[in-house]
Amino acid sequence: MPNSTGFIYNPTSGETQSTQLIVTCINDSLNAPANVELEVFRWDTTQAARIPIGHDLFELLPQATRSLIYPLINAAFYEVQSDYFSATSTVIHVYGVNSTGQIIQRVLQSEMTLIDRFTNIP
Amino acid sequence: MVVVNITGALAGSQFEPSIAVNTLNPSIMCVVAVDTSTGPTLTGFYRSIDGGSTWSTTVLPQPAGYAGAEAPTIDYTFPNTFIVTVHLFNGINDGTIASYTSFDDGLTWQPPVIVQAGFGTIVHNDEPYIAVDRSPGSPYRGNAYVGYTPLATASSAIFTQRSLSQGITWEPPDRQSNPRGIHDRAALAVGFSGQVYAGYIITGPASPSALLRISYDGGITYQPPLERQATFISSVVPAPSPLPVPNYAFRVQTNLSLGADISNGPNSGTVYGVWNDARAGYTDILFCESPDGLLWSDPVSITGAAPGTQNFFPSITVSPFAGTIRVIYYTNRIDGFLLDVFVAESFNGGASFTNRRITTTSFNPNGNSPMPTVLIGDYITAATVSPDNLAAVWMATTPPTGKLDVYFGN
Repeated sequence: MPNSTGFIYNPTSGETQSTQLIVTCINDSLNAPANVELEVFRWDTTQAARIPIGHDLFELLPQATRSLIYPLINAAFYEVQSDYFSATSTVIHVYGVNSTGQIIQRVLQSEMTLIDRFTNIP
Repeated sequence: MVVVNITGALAGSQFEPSIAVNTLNPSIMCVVAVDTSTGPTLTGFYRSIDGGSTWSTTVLPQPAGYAGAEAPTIDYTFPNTFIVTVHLFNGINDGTIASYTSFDDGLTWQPPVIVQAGFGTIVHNDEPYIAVDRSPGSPYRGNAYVGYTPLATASSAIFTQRSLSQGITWEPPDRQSNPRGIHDRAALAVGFSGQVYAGYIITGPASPSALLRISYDGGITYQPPLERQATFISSVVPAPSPLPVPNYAFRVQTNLSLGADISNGPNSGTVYGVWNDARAGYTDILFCESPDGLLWSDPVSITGAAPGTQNFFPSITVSPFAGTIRVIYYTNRIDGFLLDVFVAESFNGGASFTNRRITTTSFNPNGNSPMPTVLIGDYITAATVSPDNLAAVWMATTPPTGKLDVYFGN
């Protein structure tokens, strides 16, 4: 079952506005590759529509790392859903970063909530 | 390539065949089917000890208190064990799941065992499907699992039960599905490490989809747990029933068939799912694969059949030695009306399939009936003959008999 950050609030201006998301993935397994799936959504201030801004599926070899960057444009709220398959010992964190590179929001995997399924992206 | 009419000498009708082959001695094949040769609808049992060239036929003894039996399936485990599960009934009443076990390659059978009794029209257990763990990588080898479908008037569920005694006794059921969905037959497969893949298609009331839960502990518990939704394989567009072909009146269910690669090949551990799906505007066989049963590929057609043809009743088998995937199915691709059985074969873990015809003669689904028939059975079955050949059984009405007969072919 995937992990979700939940519906994260993001100020629309000022120094505490995240302008990009960094999703970091590490496969700490010594021998099993992991398949990582990520879905990233944003909402504008009206919250009228869930807009997918990222959907990635990739293989992470044993002991490998990968970080992905998603620009946050017109994103008053965001959510990251993540899961890894065919492996254990994979950790996926999410960081919201402002325009000067400061960490505004940090959601560790251990802080995320298990959800039943990924959102269907047509 | 051989095609044998197993039941041509019998009276009545024979359909809904299921086959299992002794992995250690592939000359021994056991087939069960719905059989009315003695009058009532009973469980026909057909046995070959020469690799399918010749067959003996009989019916399994019917438990007292039940007028009929149907929807039988059979599976094999080491060294000489075959287990059959059937649906017993009294008309629309008392749908009950029962099992039969043979420890001597189908020569003799233990008395039938009631797996789950039904009562009247309110508890009607139907559509059993058996899978027995025979994976070299499983600590649960020999465990038997049966899936079935308690049917109510407007809704149904998918249940499973397991046996640690090869069908002599059965443990209480686990529910796998939405309790108020619309389901037909479950699909069970046992993976390389003994994972139990308990899959099914929910065709309604909304969002038809193929789903599954997985047991990693030999059938004690299933993941995700029941308070969570089942793992998603694919959305599904059920086949229209009957299919939109003039003079087709037979029903077509949309059921999942699961296979797992327990070989030592490069795709060991992979799980495969097939079903008939009408999303393209005609009914075709779609295929998904997963390295772990959790992350599933997008479905693809594997028939190579022309748009507008009808392709249905897929049954998958995966060679435990070579990992070869074979999916048999009915198709009207040759004639447009008459049916054939084709096999889609993949020697590269599902990356590509080639299709070939198994039947030698196309047949009329309505057989001898002057009116379009409403039932040709709900399934046909493929198994693997060690190390890497097909053993398929299907129903055909090929002349001269023209009746519903069970055929074997490869």
